[in-house]
Amino acid sequence: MKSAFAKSLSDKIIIAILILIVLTYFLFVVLPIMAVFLRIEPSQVNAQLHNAAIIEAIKLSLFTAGTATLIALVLAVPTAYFMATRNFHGKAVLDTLIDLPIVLPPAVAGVALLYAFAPRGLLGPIFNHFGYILPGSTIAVIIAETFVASPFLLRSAKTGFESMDRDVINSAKMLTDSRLRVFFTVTLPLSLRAIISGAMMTWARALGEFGATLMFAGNLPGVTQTMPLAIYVFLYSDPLAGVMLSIILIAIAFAVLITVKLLEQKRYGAKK
Amino acid sequence: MNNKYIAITLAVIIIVAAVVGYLAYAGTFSGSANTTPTPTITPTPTITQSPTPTATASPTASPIITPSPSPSPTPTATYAPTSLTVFAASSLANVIANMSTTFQNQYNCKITVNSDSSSTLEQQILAGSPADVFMSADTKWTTALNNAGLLLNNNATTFTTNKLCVILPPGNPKGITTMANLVKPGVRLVVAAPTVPVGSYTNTTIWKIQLTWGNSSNPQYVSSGAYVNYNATFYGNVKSYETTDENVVGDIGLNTGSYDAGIVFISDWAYANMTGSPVQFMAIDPAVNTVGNYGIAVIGSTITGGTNHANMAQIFMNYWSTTDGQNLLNKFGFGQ
Repeated sequence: MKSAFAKSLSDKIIIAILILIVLTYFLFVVLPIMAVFLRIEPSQVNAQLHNAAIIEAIKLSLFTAGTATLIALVLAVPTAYFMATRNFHGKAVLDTLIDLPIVLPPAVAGVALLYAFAPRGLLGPIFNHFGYILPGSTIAVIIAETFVASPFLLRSAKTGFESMDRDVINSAKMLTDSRLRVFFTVTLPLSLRAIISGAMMTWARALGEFGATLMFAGNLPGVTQTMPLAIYVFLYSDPLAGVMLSIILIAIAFAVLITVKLLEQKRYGAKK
Repeated sequence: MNNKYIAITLAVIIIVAAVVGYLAYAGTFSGSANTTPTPTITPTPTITQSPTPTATASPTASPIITPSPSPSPTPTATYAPTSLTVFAASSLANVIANMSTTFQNQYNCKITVNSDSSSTLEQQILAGSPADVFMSADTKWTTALNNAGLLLNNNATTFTTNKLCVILPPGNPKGITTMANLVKPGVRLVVAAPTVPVGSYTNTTIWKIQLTWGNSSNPQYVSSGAYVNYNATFYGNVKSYETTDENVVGDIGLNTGSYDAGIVFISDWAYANMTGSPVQFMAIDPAVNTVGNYGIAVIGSTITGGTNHANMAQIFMNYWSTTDGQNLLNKFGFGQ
């Protein structure tokens, strides 16, 4: 048997080691991000915010990421509801397939989109028939962002639908014959937080999309050059502009993640 | 099963995987740390048969250890083991990788290559990075180091050149045969961004075309008018600006119909071709092409290994001016 003193000493050592590990990890993550902020003088920020190339990239990014999120809402939320409420053969496989874009290397996502939608891709003949070529167009950016980012919304919405109290839905179903009415008046409001936090994750991921966009859509200022692509190009020629865009992206990512965190705290807090 | 045991098992698996991964990377299992794939080109330069590395192109004053011309089966015996750190422009990485094994066997000298953009390398050398030899894609950087007094014997040599070419997807679906075809409506081009060397060279060539073939007061004016306002029409057809030569080659080689033509260095095309890429080649008229002069120099300031080390760096530098060196460069698309 250890004495009480030895026990408390070994506890203290363990806690000290734990704190050391936490600090090391925290610094490891925060230091590189801080390093970006230190690369620009506060006096230079204003000039960079009036840099036409930066504004063009920001506008394009906001437009494409916003559109991709809207498309994801239309496609992923109903799918999430279906997956959360039905059981069928091969559901796990389908579920995994839809999640795949989250873990695909960007180059794989890019080449997959090319092989599907480029002029000599699977659906190429259809687009060629209407005289439309996707690569090199803003639509291609939106497709790439939707492909890569929408699974975040799907996952979050599915969890939201799954964690709902079935009794509430069943009671609601007794009051009306319209499934659609139940969905819009009970199901949706109850899972709204999950959907909003999922949509925000999707939006943030779309905003940061780089590899698939570069490969599938290309890099053309004003047409396909979103913020991450502009950062990559600027770092060769105009590092200050690249740093400014990086800071904007970091700030947006931080704001989105902390909002999602607060929303989720409320969601789980309500259950307790 | 108890959660604790699952956690411990997982931790053990992760640690074992990490250790195995590290050992494999360090070369314990593979037996070789050098995992860089090098295209095998036959015939490889046989330095063994040309024991006169003193090339005519570099009249250097430094004494050079000439390998004995006797057909000794173990030439390494002649040389004390040494190693060279070569700072080389990215475009040269493949050609150096191709000759380094032969060189190592011949001279008992291990070549380590640090490849990056020439300007970055020049900055690193200026800042004191330990480079023995510098191979630059532009003689302006070897000259800059010479001006800074960092070169051995103040000696830098131009050892090869690189030029631009047009690359086309397999089958050349748009039937492109001239530079004028590139600016036809509906032709989709991919080039490098003007901020990277190949993109800057491309920009220079496009302007040259407009100012010669597209300029009615120039004797070389092409009367069809196909080259008038060439800069605007060319860049109007550009659908993507890539940040590396490899990306341009990839965009064309993937053959997805996204792009109909691209512009890269001939060395980019040669390497893509020898590694199996289906991209097709179209030459650009020397009258409008942009030539990059490649410079090589031994960095005197950081040579610390004594005379043998400096001599080996000189032998390595001179190799590139020999027939073998030049033939190898030609195979990789340089000096054409």
